[in-house]
Amino acid sequence: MKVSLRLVFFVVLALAALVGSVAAQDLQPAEGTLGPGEGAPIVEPNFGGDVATLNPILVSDGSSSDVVARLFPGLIALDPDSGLPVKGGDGGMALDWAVSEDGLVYTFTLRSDWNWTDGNPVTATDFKYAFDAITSGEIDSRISAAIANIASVEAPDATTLVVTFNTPECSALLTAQYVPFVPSVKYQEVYPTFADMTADHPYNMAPEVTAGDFQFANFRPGEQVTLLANQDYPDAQIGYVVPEGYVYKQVADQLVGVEQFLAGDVTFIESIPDDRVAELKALGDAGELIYGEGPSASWHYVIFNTADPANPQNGLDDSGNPIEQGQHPIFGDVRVRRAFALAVDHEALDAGAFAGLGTAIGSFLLPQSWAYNDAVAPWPYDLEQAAALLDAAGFVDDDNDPATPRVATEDALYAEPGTPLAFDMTSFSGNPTIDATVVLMQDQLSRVGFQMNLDIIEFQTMIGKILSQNFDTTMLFIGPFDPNDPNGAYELLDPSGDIVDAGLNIGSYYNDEFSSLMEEARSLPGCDPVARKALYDRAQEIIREDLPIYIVTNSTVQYVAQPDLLNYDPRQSSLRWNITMWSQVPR
Amino acid sequence: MIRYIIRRLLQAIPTFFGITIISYALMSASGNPVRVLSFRPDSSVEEQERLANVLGVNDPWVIQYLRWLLGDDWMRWDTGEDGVADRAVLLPLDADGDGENEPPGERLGVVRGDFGNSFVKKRPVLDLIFERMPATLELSVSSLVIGTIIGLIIGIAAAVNRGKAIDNASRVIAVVFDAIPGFWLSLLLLLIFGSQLKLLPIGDRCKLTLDDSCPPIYERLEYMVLPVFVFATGVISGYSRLMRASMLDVLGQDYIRTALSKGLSNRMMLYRHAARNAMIPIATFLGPAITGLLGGAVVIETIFNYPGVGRTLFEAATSRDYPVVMAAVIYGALATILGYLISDILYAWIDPRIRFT
Repeated sequence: MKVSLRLVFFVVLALAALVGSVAAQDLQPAEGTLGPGEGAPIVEPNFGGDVATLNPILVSDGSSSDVVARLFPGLIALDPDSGLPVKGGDGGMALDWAVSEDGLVYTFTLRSDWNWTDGNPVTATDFKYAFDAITSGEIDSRISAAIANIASVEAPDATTLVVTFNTPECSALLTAQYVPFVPSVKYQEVYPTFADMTADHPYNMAPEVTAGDFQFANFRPGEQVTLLANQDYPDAQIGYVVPEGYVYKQVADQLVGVEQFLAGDVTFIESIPDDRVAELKALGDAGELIYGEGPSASWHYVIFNTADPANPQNGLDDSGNPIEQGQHPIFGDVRVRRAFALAVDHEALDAGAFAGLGTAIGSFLLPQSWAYNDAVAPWPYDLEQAAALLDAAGFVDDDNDPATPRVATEDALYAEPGTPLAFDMTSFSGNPTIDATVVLMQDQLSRVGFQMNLDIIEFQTMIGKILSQNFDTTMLFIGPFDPNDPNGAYELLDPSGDIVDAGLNIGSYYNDEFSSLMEEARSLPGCDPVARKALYDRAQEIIREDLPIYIVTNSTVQYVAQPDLLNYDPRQSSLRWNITMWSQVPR
Repeated sequence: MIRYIIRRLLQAIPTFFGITIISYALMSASGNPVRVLSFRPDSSVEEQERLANVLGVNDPWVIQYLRWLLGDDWMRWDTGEDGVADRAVLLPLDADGDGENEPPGERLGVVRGDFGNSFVKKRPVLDLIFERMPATLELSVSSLVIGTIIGLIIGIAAAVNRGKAIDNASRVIAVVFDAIPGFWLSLLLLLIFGSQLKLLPIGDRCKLTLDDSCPPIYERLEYMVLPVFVFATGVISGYSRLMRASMLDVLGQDYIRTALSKGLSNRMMLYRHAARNAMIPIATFLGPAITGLLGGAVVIETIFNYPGVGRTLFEAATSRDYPVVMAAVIYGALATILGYLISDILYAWIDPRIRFT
């Protein structure tokens, strides 16, 4: 079972993928494409938990986001290939926008041809209502933190939206995209005050008024959410919605999900488990299914705890000044971290754990990102250099016995003399890829004198342990990141995120230059891409050299679909961008 | 009889509370759910503190348990009707230290039917349990009935044919059924009968439709075959061994020999006298059988993608959704206590020598 830590940005990606994530395309349907609502329902497996809410203001989990994306309009259309905003693109409410000279005020011109299913038009007021609800402080919405930089939203008329930011932000459009359009007339009727919009309100699970390419039909707990085609959806690529409906089917086990796909019970799988890739690829080659691969927006990585694990401290005090938090006896020394990276045989790791589909990268940005620095090379496999670094760091092989770990001498920066070069790798059970990776890594590292002890525990228990920052190293799978927002991964390395029991900078990394570069690139006046890339280039070099995290691999994602599914055309940034024209003869 | 049942039910009360206390203590010891619920980059310390206060997980576990059991409307209440608590016992009036009193408690506790809301789904826990209960009941009741019937038949046949092939086969079956892990057997059967032979569906409770409910059971029996079989293996194994041993014991009794020597037919002896007396110890197996079914539901429902309480419990436990876990524990505890009670009643019903005292 592939356990994914889809904790970072699942909300932003899902909200970005709200119906408005599709750019205008010149489309010709495949021959044999069926008529309106005549296609078989699209059945997508949901390997996560049950959908928790269908109120986009309250959404906080990946499962709910997937369904909400089919029901509610988004502000801006995104190009399915690049993921970049497109003015007037299909599926987005914004026809155009203008930015004030100081970069703080965005004025959007909205379209007027999009209606809710109750006949009311989708207007700027619907956006403002959602913003007011989220920022009211009366409801529990996780979107509020993401839009904290939005100072105000005004709707002077139905088609004009004015969004004012507190500080300039180069990803302002993506930030604004967090705010959904909701049917304000209906919502005011259902929720007389914002305080009435409680998480357990029954309307949350039975929305009557929507405006997406599909509309809500029913929710069967533990089984499925069923949507039906909305033939009034204005941006259907060929003028109508082909599938009769869309079923988000809960499947508790990935093995069962793949078998159901092979039996034809599921229309497509967005990301297949690693251990079934070879089999499904072969079936794809034989024409028995549609198989495709794309770059993954996630990576597997090792986090080094650079601070004293015996005395975890926050990174910054209330005034924003660094707090002295000691050094990890082993990984506090950057030379040891580099030796770790040099001792990992990525090729063997890729073959043994990632089915040959992994890509070694040296940067913390995705290779498909515009800000990716090609000059930042992955760490090579070089045992000699690793051994030399460990020698220099004061960890020596005192008995010439490869079975025992090196020990610290008086030259070690932070370890007491005699301290073995031994550490725990904290990871979680149930993920074959990570299981294989840590076992292979354990063997590889032993060749240079590391003793890596495996600390494999239940996933949620592991989360608690690593957040408390009393671990040595841990390995996670994290993502997806938005390639167009290079600051996305900064949360993992931001000193303000170094909070015991809370923040994601669990390795307690702190580098003033790096932080300054990332902040500057985030809000550079004018947002010149060339100037921003130069800043990101340097930031990537710093992380490569400081090595607070070691990116094990950036793998590809493999997807499959039924062989008779017409018009299925996944793009790099969106797999479902043309779902309205997917056509499969009902069985 | 009624007095006996009432007394047994009263005796079950301390058992029930004992189970809830131990379960709550173990669950609380497994970690703070706020860490899990808020593990994301945009989660601030303030938000986590607020969440912890809302969920009440910063309180000592005894207070948490009392809140869960008896509610908190008596722990912190408002006499001024201004929406702010001005009296409190066990809890501080200003729990978050912001200088302002907290709102009055609103929880009623499970003894008053308030199981709270799911930490994850944010919906009333009872709704989550009740909407999943039919699926679990249809599997477990079917398995229990079918498993019991098959197990008893195999046990009787084995005892009557002691030492013969059917006896040996029954013992092998019992050991195999007992030894095979449920998850492994489930996957194996799914792959063979679902994927390879395509004779049965690959999991699920009913055929995928766009409607809002599954059809009646009799229209979807094919979806129940495999999970019911896996569930029933444990029951078949247990009952066949117990019935065989019990029958052998009864068949060796003097009164059986006497009956046979008086010319009673074998059939009459077996089914009128031996089988009925052999059933006495069998009745005691019902309680453990129900417990086993509930435990197995966690794994089997997950693999067969069956939307029952077991799968809910699995999901809740892995996401530290304490209210749902506790509701599922109560469901299991009540079913077990009831199972043992029915065992005892059956015991007396089958054996007239036993009197309720």
